[in-house]
Amino acid sequence: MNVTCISALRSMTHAQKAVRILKERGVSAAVVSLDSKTSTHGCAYGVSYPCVYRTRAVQVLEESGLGYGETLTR
Amino acid sequence: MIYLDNAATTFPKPERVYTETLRCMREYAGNAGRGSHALAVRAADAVYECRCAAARLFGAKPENVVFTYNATYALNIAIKAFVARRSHVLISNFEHNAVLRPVAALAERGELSCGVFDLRAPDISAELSVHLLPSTRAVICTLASNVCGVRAPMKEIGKFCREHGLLFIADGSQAAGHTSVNVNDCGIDVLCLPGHKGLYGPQGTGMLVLSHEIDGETVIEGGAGVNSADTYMPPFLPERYEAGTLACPALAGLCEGIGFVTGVGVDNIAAHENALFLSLASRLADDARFTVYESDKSSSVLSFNVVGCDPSEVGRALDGRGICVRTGLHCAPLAHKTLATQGGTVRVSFGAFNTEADVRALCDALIAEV
Repeated sequence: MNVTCISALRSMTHAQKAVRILKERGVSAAVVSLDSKTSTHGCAYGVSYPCVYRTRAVQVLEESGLGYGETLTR
Repeated sequence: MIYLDNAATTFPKPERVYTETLRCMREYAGNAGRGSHALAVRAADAVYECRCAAARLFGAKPENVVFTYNATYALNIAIKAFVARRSHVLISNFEHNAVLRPVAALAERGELSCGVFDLRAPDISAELSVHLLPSTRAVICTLASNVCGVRAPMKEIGKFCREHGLLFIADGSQAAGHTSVNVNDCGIDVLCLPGHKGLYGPQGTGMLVLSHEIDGETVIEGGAGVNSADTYMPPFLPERYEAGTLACPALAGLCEGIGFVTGVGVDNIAAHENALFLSLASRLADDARFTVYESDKSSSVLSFNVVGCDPSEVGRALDGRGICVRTGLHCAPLAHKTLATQGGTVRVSFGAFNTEADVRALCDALIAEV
């Protein structure tokens, strides 16, 4: 089964940036909105990608200064 | 019609700007940053592409590009959000009302005091030092005058600001698209500019480009698409200063405008416009019926008067011959005080689509009228 991971980000702009950076590094990603349980401040966005790339994706996001919230599985 | 008022707004726009603005309106004008359905994300993609294009042009990070509706909004945000209250600022003697009025309004309320320096001083550091006070916190300065094209020595001002711990807020309204501006290389903290002038985007577009994050109060509050449960604006760029729906179709067009500018090349556009400026300047300067006012030799903007005529009369006469020029004070009374042209001037400003034939037609019309 293909499990999807979602990394929470600060904003739509950061999510847009994250998608492009992940794609440049070979990780297929998309912008998603976070559900109310994971966004305590209200509307929030993140990026989704296949969990097989989780380690690489989290590393790329942190290196790019985009690391922010937790990474969830869906 | 011959359009010679490109310092007010460029016209026409490149065809790709019209095409993409309309395509966005028809095909993908969702509300950028508001939701994650396909149309909202497609709109957000377009906005982000425009951020990236502007960021590349001015040497900044995409998230440090804050979109506004024009340069005036951008300057108001920069001045009111980033300049500490009860401090002192320095502005140049060529500032537009977009700088002068917000500074004057804050001064009227006792929240700011202001000194004026001469942008044309041969040693700008010495000039700034003369006006520097212990409470000075910022230099707010146009990079090119909208009246006569006088240019600021931006790198020297940036260096001075860095050395003295001052914020450098630059008005790039007449510089963006006409001269290369890299916010980091020039020591600019906040660059404010319109999208509809030298970047050839639609009206209703402008931006702040920050070289780094700056703590600041918000000026306009409202929906930002994130952290909606909070009663305050998000603490990060660019959303902190982008309350309300962005003009997505206009920004899609602006992205194409920036693409046009970078495709042709800022230096090539500047050289083309400057050749027309020099051609006009030489024709008018040799004729005693005209007074040409001081300008930078690399300018694309020329102010002049017809001896014995009010500039508005000249403008009306040219308009009658299908030639659009700007007359009056050009919203920059300080510049006119500096140039001793309080009665205003006739201003000709060239764009990428003007030609030498336009210069000849203007000169023929002027000679026929005076």
